[in-house]
Amino acid sequence: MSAKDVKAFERHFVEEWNKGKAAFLAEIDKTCAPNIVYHGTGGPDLRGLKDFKQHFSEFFDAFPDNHLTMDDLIVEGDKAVIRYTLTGTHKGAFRGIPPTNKKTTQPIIGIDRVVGGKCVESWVRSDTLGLMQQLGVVPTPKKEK
Amino acid sequence: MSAKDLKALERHLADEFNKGKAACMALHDELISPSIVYHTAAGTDLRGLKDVKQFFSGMYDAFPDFHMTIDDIIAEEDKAVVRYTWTGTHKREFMGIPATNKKVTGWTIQIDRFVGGKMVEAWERMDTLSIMQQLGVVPTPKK
Repeated sequence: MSAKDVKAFERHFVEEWNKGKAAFLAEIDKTCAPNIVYHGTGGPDLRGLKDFKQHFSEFFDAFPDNHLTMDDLIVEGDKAVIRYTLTGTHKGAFRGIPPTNKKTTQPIIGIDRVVGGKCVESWVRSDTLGLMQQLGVVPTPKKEK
Repeated sequence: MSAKDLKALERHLADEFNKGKAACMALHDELISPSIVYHTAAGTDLRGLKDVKQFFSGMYDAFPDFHMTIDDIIAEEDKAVVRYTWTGTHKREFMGIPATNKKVTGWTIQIDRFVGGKMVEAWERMDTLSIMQQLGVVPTPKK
């Protein structure tokens, strides 16, 4: 795949994400490798499509209106780096936290390795502490200055 | 700068960071733009070299043995993306948390934008909650 193809692949993936849970899970079946390895932020590595889909199914249940905005896309070889902003309202249990109805915003950077039109490995890093503070389960420290 | 040049520059940055605070501060004067905009992993934006140097000075004070290992570099046009693992022992106050003497490991992905050989903007993202859990100030949920 050319850099242009990888960029189109990533843009399409984001479009499908923003259509909601059903569209996104269908998209995963089409565009993620059965043996995908997912190095998520704040959790153990996931191996294989089943666990990967389960993870995102639960995430959509927790934040049903979640929406991705792509802020930057950088591609070299078979790797795509996406900087994006994820928003969503906390409507279902998330990491053991009952729904708070709070609206959240997360700045995220992800790296996807795309081979033969399928995502085979993915790394995601985000401000998980900031998310917990937005949900009100970890206190936000006062600035000392 | 070519992708190859950007990668060499990132490797140099990591080497200097690993020499400790003084080398890191000198490196900032050499390779970071005076008008740098630095989007930290904690969601704050630092503007200008003075604030960025102060940020890293504080980081070295808190974690004097800070060490980073580059796991991957991806470069395109004026941007280099570095995925790295860092470790450090918490020896002094950090984000209001008194020294715990705990050794922590962070997994970061950072995007750096360069113009004319100087870093002008950076976005740093990592699992910030995990750091607080390793320091023992936020409980780690049971599986």
